[in-house]
Amino acid sequence: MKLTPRGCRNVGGDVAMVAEDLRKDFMDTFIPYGYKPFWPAGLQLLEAITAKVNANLQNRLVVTNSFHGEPCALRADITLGVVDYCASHFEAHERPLRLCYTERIYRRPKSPDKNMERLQMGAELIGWEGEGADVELIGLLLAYLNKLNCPKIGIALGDVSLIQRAIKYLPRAYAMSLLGCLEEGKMDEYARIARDLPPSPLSIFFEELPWLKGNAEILYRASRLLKGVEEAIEPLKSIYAELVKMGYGDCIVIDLSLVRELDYYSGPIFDVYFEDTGIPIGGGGRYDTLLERHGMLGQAVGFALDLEVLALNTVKPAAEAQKILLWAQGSQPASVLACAKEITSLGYCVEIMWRERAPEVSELARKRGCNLLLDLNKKSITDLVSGDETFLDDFLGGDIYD
Amino acid sequence: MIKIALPTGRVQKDAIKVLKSAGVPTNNLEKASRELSIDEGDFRFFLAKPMDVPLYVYYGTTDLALAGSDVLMEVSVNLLELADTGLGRCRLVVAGPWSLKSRFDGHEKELMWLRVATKYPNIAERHFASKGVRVEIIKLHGSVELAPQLNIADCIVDITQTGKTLEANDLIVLEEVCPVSLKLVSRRYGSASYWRECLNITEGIKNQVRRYKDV
Repeated sequence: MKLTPRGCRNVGGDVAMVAEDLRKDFMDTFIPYGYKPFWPAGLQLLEAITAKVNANLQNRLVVTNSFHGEPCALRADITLGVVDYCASHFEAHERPLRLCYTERIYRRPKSPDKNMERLQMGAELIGWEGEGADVELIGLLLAYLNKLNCPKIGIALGDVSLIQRAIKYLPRAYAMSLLGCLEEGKMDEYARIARDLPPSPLSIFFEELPWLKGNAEILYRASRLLKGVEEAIEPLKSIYAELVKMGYGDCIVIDLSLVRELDYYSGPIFDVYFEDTGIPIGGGGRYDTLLERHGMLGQAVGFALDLEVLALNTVKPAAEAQKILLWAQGSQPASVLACAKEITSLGYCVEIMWRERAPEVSELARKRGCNLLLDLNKKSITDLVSGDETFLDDFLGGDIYD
Repeated sequence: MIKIALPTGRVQKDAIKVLKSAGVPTNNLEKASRELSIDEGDFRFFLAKPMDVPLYVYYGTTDLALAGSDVLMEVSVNLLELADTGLGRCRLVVAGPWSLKSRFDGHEKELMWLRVATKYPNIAERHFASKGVRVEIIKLHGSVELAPQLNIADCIVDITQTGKTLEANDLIVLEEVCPVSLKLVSRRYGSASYWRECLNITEGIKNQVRRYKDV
């Protein structure tokens, strides 16, 4: 009988193994910088979510009830949990607060995706730290991603506050239409609306906005086009300059047309993707507005990565620990485990086979990826590639297990 | 190398014409008979079923694609629509026998549980849902115009260019869903050089569209 419903999957094998390595590396990158691990609640109250997220996310909630009958949704967004936790557990003077996590989220999938579960890992920084916080988070993220054995990473960097300031020059109906086109990716429709905009000092900026994507020259082009609000580009310029100094200029693309949930994000935002294919891996940015909706003043920046997409595109490191199949053959479990402990302390991985009879044991070991076979009855280790046999006491350097 | 996906069938010739007018070399593409992957200069072209074309870009197999707006609406993946080529124009409509006209002219409740045959189940579902109407969608892969005659469905959602196929099958247009044309699409993310290439091709196409309009 099939147990998992449509939209859910059991994941194991190499993908799960690589994902676990990625998770460990991620935590090891962020924890030394003061990021504390965080477990968000699995259910979120429906009433609270709908007041804080836009219609797009509301439509994708997986709705259920709590044990007490409260209307809830399966956790659709970890940042909401982070903000709720910070609001209820910390006072303002305790900031900056740094949190990192690896957890599942549940959303109705968007075409052509079929999965409602996504495994995310991310980090959040809440305080009043200015652009330093953006640079810290993006810098650590890139330091982590650049270590991985995956296709080249790209980051599209934009700033929703810049667009929020610029659209104030437009009548509301035009502003909403243009933003809608940018969000939905309808650039042909955008160009048609932009041609008919009422005259304003920012007319050329709006006309060119969908194509303000590229290297540093885009920032200077935007400075010239943002007549009257030139300073709006400064935060992005300074973040970009700092990331270039850190050696990440090569993977950053300035994209001023990047807009995402304007009622949630409030400043610099970024999307992470594989450069060659454009496949998105995650994204993040400033979400001061969301903080405000929780009654908190200050600045917040965070990001989330799709761990499964990353794992599927990351090559398992070749230099893995050698695996030994330890055939116990009826030996006392305590002594077998003591032997296994000794072997793992030498840097090997051990898999124990407890059964007494096992025909074709060498073949079985090979199938399990082991290149050494330890026969505890014979107290010998066979190299399954060369066929060489070594006595166990020689291998361990003296101790004999019985 | 820039990789571009093109639809086979009705709009294939239009797609090649658009690329040619934008300065993209298309000699090999025009000569191709059964090949589905064609190289020329710095370009590689893939010919694919129209419904699959957006997915080629979405999954990063190609950098760009030319796809009908009907297909883009139906497949509904996260892409950038860079330019409307103005070619391959037709209309997506609800069509049915004359006897259904009074129901479509009346209150929406008259349309409840209509059986709708279509190649575009997502668009049809959304179209009727936007009126608060629930219908039964019957997904067909071709010859959709036959469905009302054969009593498979009450009406159809399909594209029509001249209306002659509808007429030949005793169907009339009951409602317009949306206009359809061939669009240039790209993925959402790419390097600075990727965007420069996209801009060049988009500008080439837009200039050609302006010329068509001027003529």
